Amino acid sequence: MAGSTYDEFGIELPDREEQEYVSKRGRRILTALIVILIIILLITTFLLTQLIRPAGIPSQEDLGGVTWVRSIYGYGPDISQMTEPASVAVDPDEGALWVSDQIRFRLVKYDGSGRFLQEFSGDSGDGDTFNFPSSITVAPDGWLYVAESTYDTVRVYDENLTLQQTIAIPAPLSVAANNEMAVIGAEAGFAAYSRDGELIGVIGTRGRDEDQFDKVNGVALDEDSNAYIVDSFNNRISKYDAEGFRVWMVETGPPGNQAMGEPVTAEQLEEYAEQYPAFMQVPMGATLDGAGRLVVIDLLDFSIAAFDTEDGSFLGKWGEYGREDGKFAYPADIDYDAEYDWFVVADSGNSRAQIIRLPDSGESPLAAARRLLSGPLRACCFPLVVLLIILVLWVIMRHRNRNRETASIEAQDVESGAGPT
Amino acid sequence: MDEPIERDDAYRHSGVPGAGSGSPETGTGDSAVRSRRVRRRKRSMWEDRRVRAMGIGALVLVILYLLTVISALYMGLLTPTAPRTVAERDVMAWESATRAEDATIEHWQSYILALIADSQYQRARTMIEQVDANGALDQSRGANMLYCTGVLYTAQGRYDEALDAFTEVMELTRAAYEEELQRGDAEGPNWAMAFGIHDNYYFSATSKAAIYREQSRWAEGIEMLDVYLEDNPQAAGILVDRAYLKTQMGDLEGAEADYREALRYVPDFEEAREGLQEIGAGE
Repeated sequence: MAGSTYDEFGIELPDREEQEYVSKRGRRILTALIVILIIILLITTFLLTQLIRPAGIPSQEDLGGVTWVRSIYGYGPDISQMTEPASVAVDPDEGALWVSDQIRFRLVKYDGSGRFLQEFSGDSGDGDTFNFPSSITVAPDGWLYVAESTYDTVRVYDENLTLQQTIAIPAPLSVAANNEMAVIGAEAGFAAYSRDGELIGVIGTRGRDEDQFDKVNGVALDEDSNAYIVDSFNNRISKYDAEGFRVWMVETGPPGNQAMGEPVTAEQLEEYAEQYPAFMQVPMGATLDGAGRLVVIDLLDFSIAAFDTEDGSFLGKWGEYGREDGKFAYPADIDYDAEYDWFVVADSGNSRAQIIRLPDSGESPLAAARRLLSGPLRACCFPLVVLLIILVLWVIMRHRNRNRETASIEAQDVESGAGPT
Repeated sequence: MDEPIERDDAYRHSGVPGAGSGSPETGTGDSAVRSRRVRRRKRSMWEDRRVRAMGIGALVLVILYLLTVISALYMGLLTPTAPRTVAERDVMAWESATRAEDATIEHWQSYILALIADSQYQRARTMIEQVDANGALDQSRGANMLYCTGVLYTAQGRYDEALDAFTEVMELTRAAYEEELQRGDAEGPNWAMAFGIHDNYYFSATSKAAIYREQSRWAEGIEMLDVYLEDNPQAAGILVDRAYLKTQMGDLEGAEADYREALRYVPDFEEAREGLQEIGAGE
């Protein structure tokens, strides 16, 4: 019908007069109704948030500068699902994390919101399962490296968890990998291996001299294959370039084994604090963050220290001892997830993995959005998609009806002879 | 909802030719009035485009909200299956311990304290009543549920009731201990001789001290910490707490002695060092 018009929802209106009808009372009623509805929805949202939000979430001030994101204690109703995790590794493709639950001889994978994804015993068909998986890492392309110090091996799996190779090395304590090579820390130094498992080189002997090592419990590897070596008991950190030359070395505290015997006095503590800016006790796992800093976790200082990768200068230290979420008890390992700009910590003494954030670690708006959607707000994703679809449909229909209305007015004008000739 | 047509102004402002000044058809006065009378009929508020749009908007809002709730339910956000915080883990751990056949009153106490720490006050109250009603669980040594009640009151900010509960716990546990001790002299070794007074006695003392501190009742707080330190003189944390209360009382000498004593046991005790600095006794 030439004279018909439609509203934005596609409902046909009988004529123009009907369309322009104004009901003040109706508008008042609907305005009041919408206000009441919004208030009810806000109250319900608040109550639901209280229901979802766990009690006793710590504040940043109480945590020595650490921002707690979430803790992972395991999965399912059995409380003993995670016991003294030894190592953690971020899976870069999925925003997921692997936790080495070494006492149960297995690795467990969780997503960024702490949900259980899978369990992996290392069995690749021959029944040969893990035996105390002591350190793990995931290369950027998804290859998983699992060090077992009791087996003197490092097993390498591809992204489908198919065993690719087994590297034999005495008492491997730590492992880091990029897509070209892997660096494995051991008691007396570290070794570099190519992607196909060929030995590139070995550096170090056991001892306290400059080129010697006493338990390399942490290694990190950057994109240029520079290796950062954490010598736990000598209490020092070094950087080696891809050719195996040492770039720098910093002492982060008195050698750990010296502390055995007499207790440290308050005066000695003050001396150490002056002598060693980072003043660590037993540096362990290490990783590189989004700002390019080397981040090292301390087993006995229950803290995390950051260093400049250019010269090893100390940048800052965060963390507190405690059972509360966001605090640490004998943390053994740390890894960084660039996608979410957060760190994953193996909080061994508290039998949990923790996801935390540190200041100035390389914030990006995308990472902030991902973080937001990894929490309870992810429940809004589906309704937001629906809302988006509704809005798109509304815009399309409105556009179509306007065209239709214009066409009908033009037709009326032509009929009345007022249109263009 | 039907209603009479709105007043002239709505029609006048409608942009319809002739509106307000006469009949739409003729534009003359009398016929316009007649015409309006003829056209006057009940109209629904939904005939107003804006009202319709608002109604649909409200409906969309409700649908989206319901979708969000369904989404949260589907994702398990409202019913987490694994503990998310240490408080939730403790609740889960102690709850499973109380389910065991050999569950003791200490397990129940730990479970109820975990519930309180997780802000589940109503459930804690129910459990206290349930344990009190269970005669098989022996509370004679530790006045356990009374102690839990004191902790619950403290968490709820009911300090006076909490103080009464803790005082009663201290009296009951001490009386039970002394009675058992006397019996031991006559009948031989028993729990009082082996383990001493129940821990709830000391926990009640420190809990009372914490309330007194909250209420700025320094002297009473010190008195309670003295009770604790009498049998646990190496408790560095409690020494620092007492030093703080002494500082508030103006007893700087006593405070310094307590801080230094604490540092003797824990050389890098930061709070003790800071306390010494605050009272001007730091190095």
